[in-house]
Amino acid sequence: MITTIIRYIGFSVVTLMGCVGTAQAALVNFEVTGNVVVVDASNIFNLSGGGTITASGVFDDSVLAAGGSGTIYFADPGNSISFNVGSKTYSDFDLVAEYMTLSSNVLTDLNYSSGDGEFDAYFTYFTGADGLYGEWDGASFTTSPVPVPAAVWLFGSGLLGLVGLARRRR
Amino acid sequence: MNNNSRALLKRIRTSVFTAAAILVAGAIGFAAPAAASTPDGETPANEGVCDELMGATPGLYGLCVAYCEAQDLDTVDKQPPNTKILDNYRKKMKAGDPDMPCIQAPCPCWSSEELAVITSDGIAASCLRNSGRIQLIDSAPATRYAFADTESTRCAYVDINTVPPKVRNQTITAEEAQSCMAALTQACDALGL
Repeated sequence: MITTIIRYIGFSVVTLMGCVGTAQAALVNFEVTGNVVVVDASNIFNLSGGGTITASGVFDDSVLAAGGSGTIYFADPGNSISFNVGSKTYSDFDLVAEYMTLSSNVLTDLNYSSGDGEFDAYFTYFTGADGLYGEWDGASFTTSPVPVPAAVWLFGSGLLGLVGLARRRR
Repeated sequence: MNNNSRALLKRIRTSVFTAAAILVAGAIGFAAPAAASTPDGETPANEGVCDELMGATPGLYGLCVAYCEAQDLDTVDKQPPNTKILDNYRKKMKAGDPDMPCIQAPCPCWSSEELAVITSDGIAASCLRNSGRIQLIDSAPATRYAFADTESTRCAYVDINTVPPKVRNQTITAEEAQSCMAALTQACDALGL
């Protein structure tokens, strides 16, 4: 009996790993750095010239052509973006207008607006309140696979194990 | 002076007057088209800017042609000579009618002088255009650019060649965004960019 349970759980885990892997293989984390060129000495971001900001998030890389070129729309399901601008954070405001374009895995256009003039990104530049101006370092764009949460494995394997047991009893 | 001489003199006088009349008429004929030319050099008839008023309150279309097209306010950046026609237009306007089409709100991010500075150094500038956004950039000696976006209705102006640097970034109205876009489009087109 125990052997059978273990066998079913093992089978379930392998099956679930395959399913989850297939479903989420295209989701990747990304991050890109922006260099602050000028900003007023006293500013709402607590930034200084020569500092950096970051844009990061998640997107489905299946929309990219081979070689890493294409446009990612943050209104698409699963995609998201947020900006760390000194002490301030900006995230999805107007998803329709937010997108980024990559050319051979180099950022060439990042479009975002906080909607109040406080922080905006366009093409390879960004500007904001208190004289904030800088440029994205397109070549600093990096991606990494989104890890599958451990809870998904545990829950899925337990569920499938129970299904296997039920079928065995019949 | 005998009769023959008088007749000859009369004939000469008539010929001179006729020739003078022909010359004057010819001069008027040549001068008229020149006098009728407009700032953009096009006949000031229908140039399209007033077409949206075809189904509007009767009279508005004619006033628009008189105000916008005959004076080329739709294509040439100048102040209208008087506002009488505009006043009449606005008196005639009823609910649902658009405002005078060629009235352009100024772009709040830059002045025309600041925009001219971007291309004034003779060094090639670049122009980026994408989905309702346009950016005119000059990277030398240091970055200066103007940016407009009609979708998110915003504009920006940066010039880090000045002390202190000029950095303006703001959300604007749709009319202002159109004005910013038109100014940058015109500047980019003029440079062949």
